[in-house]
This record gives sequence, C-alpha cells and structure tokens, in this order.
Amino acid sequence: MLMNTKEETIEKQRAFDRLRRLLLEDEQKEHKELVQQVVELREDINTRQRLQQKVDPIIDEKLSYVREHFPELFGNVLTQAIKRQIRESRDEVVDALYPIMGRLIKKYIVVELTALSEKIDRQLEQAFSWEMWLARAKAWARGESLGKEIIAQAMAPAIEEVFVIEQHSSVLLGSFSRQNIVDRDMIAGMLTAINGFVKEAFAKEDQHLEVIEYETYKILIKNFQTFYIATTVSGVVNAEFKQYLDDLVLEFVHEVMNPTHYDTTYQGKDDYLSEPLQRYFTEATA
Amino acid sequence: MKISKKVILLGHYGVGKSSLTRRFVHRKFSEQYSTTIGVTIEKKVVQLEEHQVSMIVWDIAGESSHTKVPQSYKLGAHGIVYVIDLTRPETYQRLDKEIADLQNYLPNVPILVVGNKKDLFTEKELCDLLHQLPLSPYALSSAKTGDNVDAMFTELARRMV
Repeated sequence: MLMNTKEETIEKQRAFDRLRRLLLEDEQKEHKELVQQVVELREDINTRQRLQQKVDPIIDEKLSYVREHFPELFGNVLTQAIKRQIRESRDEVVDALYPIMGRLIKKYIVVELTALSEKIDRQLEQAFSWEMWLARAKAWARGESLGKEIIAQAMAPAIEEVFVIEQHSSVLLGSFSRQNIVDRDMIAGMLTAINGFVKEAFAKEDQHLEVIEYETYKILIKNFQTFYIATTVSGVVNAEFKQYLDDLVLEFVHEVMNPTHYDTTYQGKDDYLSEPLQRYFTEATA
Repeated sequence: MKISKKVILLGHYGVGKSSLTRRFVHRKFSEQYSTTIGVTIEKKVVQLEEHQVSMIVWDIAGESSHTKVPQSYKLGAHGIVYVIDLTRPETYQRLDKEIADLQNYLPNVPILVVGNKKDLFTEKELCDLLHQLPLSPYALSSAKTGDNVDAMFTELARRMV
C-alpha cells in the first residue's frame, strides 16, 4: 500500500516536470539568451577597449558640437562668472595688475623726474648767475617761493598751435602749428561747438569760454567780434605768460586782422594768414 | 579755389540726419540707431568745377522744431539740410512753417528739404506720398542705399559758393 503511494507520487512528479517543460520551454530559452546578453554587456562595460569602441563616437560627436557652439552654450554663463569673480576678488585683480601698472607708472615718473631734475640741475648751476638773481627778484615780487619760480622756468610755457576761427561759422581763417595736426578744420568746428554749447548751457550770451585744459596743455581763447583766436600752450602758464600772450594776440589782431587791411587783402585766400601767424608766434614757441 | 562752408542738418529725432552724414562722409550705414548728443562735427571736401568746397557738417541732435536748437549751432551756417522721415508724418506736418521760419532766421542761406528712408516705399507709394507733403522736397533719399545722398550734398555745395 505504502509502495503504491510512493510510485504514484513519483509518477505525478514526472508528469508535472513534463508539463512544466512543455509550458515553459520558450521562457527558458529567452532566459538563457538574456543571461548570455547580460554576460556580454558586462564584458562590454568591464572591458575598456570594447567600451571605448562603443562610447567614443558618441563623445566625439558631443565634443565637436560643444566646441562649435561654445559661445552660445556657455558665453553668458562664463561672462557672468568672470564678472562675479572679478567683483568678488577685486583685491586679487588689483594685486595681479599692480606690478604691471606700477612698473609702467614708475617708469613714466622716473623719465619725467629725470628730465625735470636735469632742468633743475641746469638752473642750479646758474644759481649765482644774473638770471637766477632775476628769478629771485621775480619770486620775491610775486610773493612766491624760489622753488616754484624754478619749476615754472623748468616747464616754460610754449605755444604749440594757433587757430584763427570765424565766430559762429567755425570756418578756419588761418592756423599755425609746431606739429602735424590731422584735421585743423575739424578742430575749428569742435572748438566753436564747445564754445556754443557752453554759452547755451549756462545761458551767458555775453560771456565766452576762455580756457580749455587737457593734461599738460591749455587752450587759451581770445574772442573778437567776428572771429576768435585759440592758442594751445604746453607747460606751466603763469600770469606773466598770459599777459605776454594777450599782448602778442592783440598786436597780431591790430596789425594783421585790422578790418580795413584784412578785408581788402584777404579776399578768400586760404593761406593768407600763414606767413603772419608764423612771424608772430614762432618766437613764442620753445 | 578752396573754400570752407558750414552746413547744418536739422529735423526731428530719428529722421536719419546722422545716417545721411555718415553715408556722405564715411560711405557707411548702420541699422542701429544711436542718438546724437548735442552736435557732431564732420568734414567732407566736395570738388566742383571751379571750387573745392570743404563742407564742415554740423549734425545737430534732433528736435521737433528748429527753435529748440541752440542758436549758436545755427548761426553762421552757409547751408541747411532739413531732413524729414517719409515713414513718420509728424516729422513733416509743420514743414512749411518750419522752412519759412528758418528762411526768416537765416536769410539768403540755401535750404534743401530731403525726404529720407525712400527705400521703404514702392515707386507708386512715393508718388502718392509726395502729394501729402506740405512742401515739395528737393530730393527723396536713402541713407541705407546711398540713393541721392551725394547728389543732394553736392547740389548744396553748388548753391553755397
């Protein structure tokens, strides 16, 4: 009895195995294939050479896209980041630039000081000369120090350019210059426009712009009824030089720009004033 | 003979005064609009049959009326270019009065009225538009294409000598 039961159980088990084989045959096959694929994939991932073969083309393509479109992709972000970095690290930026700027400034100052020192040396060599006694007398008369007088002499003013310009129209009637100026007509136009702007801005019709200063230069303007004379001067312009220039300009106007004389002889000749300007103002240059 | 002449450009803002000047002097055009602050001075030499005219062009900031332009910018002008924008009626609605005022203010100074931005119209549209203008302009120009720009300035040079 017991024997029969055991045989029956074995027979059932066999039947069940057979049934399972029949039902799950396809799934088992798929399972085997999947296992095989996972093994291959693992080898692909774990074997560097095989992984490179697959991934390199994709990375190359992406890299070349990024390279071509870098400004659009990261331009703004980078600019913002650099700006922020500069803003937040101002001290570091200053520290980085300081040696370069410092050297340039130092070099410039050394050159200028050397030039000034040489001039002052020459002045001191003449300390007991007649000129030096004159400088002392001038300084005493003005109530200024001798040092200031020596520096003023070392950086003596010199006339660089003279422009005779028609009021309002800005037409350049004549000019004299120690250098080659790019466009004198444009300078005449701009000076007239600046003059006009100042008058309008400050609503002072009866007053005129008299001085424009830039770096070590000064433009001194002397106004007359139909024209004005702009003189560019380098060096230290003191009251004495101003007086001297005023006299020179007035003399020039009296002799050359005199309405009777000027109107009858000028008659539109564009180089009419060249010779007299040269004659009057060359001596006043350094 | 070489002579210098002051030329001023007047008209509302944005009508193309600076573009016309840039086209005439530098042979360039830019689509970007930049406002003129105060005045810009340019120079161009025009060769006529007997004269070489050095034109000092004062490109003045645009104003709705020339009376708002600083007097010192206008005084001494030998020639005027009054520019209107054909696409904006408000720039030519009071054109006749403006020109009459200017003639009164600067007698005997030649004034050329120029209708700018003609490139934005067809020939037929331009014909229709001309009938709507209070004054007949000397020329219709385009700073963009350069059409009539040199011709207009050369004509002004001729009238100034």
